[in-house]
Amino acid sequence: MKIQPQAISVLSHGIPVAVVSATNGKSTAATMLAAALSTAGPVAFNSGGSNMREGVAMALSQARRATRAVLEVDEMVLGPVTREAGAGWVVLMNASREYTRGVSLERTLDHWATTLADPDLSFTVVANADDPVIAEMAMPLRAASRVVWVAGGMEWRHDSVLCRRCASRVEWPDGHDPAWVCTGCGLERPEPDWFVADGVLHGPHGAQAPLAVNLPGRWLVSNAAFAVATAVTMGVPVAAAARAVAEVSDVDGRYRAIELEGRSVRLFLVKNPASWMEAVSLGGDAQGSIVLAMETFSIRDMTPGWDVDLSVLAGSTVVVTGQRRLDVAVMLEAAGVPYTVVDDPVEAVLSMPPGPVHVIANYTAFKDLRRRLTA
Amino acid sequence: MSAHAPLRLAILHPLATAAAGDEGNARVLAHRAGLRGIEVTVSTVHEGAVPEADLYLLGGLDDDRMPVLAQRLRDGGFADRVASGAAVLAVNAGYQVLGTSFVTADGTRHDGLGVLDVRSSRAGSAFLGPVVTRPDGALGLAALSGYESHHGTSEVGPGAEPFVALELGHGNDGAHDGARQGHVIGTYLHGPLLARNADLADVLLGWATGAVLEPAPATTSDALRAQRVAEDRADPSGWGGRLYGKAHRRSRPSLRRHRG
Repeated sequence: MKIQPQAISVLSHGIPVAVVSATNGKSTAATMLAAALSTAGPVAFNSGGSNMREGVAMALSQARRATRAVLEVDEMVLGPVTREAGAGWVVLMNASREYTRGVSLERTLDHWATTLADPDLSFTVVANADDPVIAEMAMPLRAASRVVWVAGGMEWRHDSVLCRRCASRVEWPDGHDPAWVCTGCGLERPEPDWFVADGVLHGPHGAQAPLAVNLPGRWLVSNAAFAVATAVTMGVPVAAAARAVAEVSDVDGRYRAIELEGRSVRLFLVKNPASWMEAVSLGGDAQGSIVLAMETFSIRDMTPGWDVDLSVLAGSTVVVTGQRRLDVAVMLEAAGVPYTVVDDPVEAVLSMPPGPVHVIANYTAFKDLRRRLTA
Repeated sequence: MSAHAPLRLAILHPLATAAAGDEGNARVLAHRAGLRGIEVTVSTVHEGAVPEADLYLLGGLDDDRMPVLAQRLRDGGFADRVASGAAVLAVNAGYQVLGTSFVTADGTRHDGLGVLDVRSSRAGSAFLGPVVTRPDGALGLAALSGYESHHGTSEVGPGAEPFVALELGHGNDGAHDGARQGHVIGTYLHGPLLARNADLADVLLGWATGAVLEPAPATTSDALRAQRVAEDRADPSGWGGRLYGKAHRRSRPSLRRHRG
């Protein structure tokens, strides 16, 4: 579908617009932000993952009475949509490698940096202080008070170990502590404006609110922090924003537990190494029933799993299924994790004992299995 | 207790060019070494001198940062490490920069490390798709399975020999993939390559340890390879002619398959 060149500009004219992008979590964070902003009036939001210009224009055209807009955007259209929508807020949460997009991480980061440095744009960036790569490109905006720093966390560090400013190594001196520093130029983690401690989100000027998330996964707390921080920056009271975010119970059907003959099945979509790591870590924490469902997607479809340490799954009951089950079997053997093979994904779920079942699935397996389980 | 000394693997500059999953080769090597009771250390080098190791791994896509990779290896003294007898598996960007020269997208020819007698150039369009090789008697390898994603074309000089002949895929020139010179193998094959080809992993381990290794099971990866080879023979363009949702207009399947 082609859209008029001015469509986004015309449709968004006059209303505050927030743009949300990241390698992982942008749909969830955007959904949460839309919920938070909805407490103050109708919101235009391109839910459903239509995050290219056409999807953005469609969402805006269907919400002509909106008083605000939240636009989830694909990483490579951040600049055009920000410009055309006159976005006042740009949320950048994380950036890491992908193997199936055909766009390198370097190209994505260059595009983001160019957008942030554009002298004709005057948005506020809500940036992840814990990610050296994002922090480096947002630093220049500090002088104009155009940055809101969120301690958004960073579990996948592999793509941020080299400083973009000087190419020296970045270190985290205290292991899991988020503080990082470049060993070359001394660039270091900025003090966050927003952070979560003991289930409470803290912000500037004493703002704080309990931050409960009704969705599974460590990343979801981070997504919620970005959503509330941005909503407050856009004028929503922190308590109202946090309450609205806590009521989000699903994002495009990704997190809803599906009941199947006594099994409570949660599907986790994996697309790139960082999302594999999150899904595997969550499964490893649970030490319960894990199904790895992989179907054919592209020639690189199984490459992301090889970047991740699967040994955390040892101790869980693991079943591999789908057309790409042998790829996963080889990965698990290399990681020393015992597994069984069940050809059909639904049968794989049913092979687990009653109770929670954690299904890690790539895009094609996720769609097929969700359709079959909810039929 | 193993009779072998601990094995040192070093992954070199995986972030220099765009990642392509080649670091996974280290996981396979560590696993297959472990099956023989060989202790393994894996280090990842992002800057500075190349440390002493028994087996070096390079990879990544052949984008415009290949000169960065070449310079880091040069500055780190990599050629000296190779001259000391270490084994090397270099994929795509790694392969091209180890040659005598290579070309980036702007048409500039750059000096390589000269570790392989290979001269790489750049084609106008990408070679993207599954690869099946012919069995290789010299190294005792069955038909290998992998995929390629590169713009490079390579000429193997008299100081090296082609790595493998191709049944399906482009590799260097439509007939062969990669190059081998001593214990250095360069190839265009991603996968990660060793995930599907345990026999090649064992060849590299043999070179790195300098020993004849005890046999070790490879049932699952052999089954994976057989599955992939069968799928790719049946559909040489990759998954019903569509890759990542877009119809591909690369070389037609009939041109990619090498008969005879």
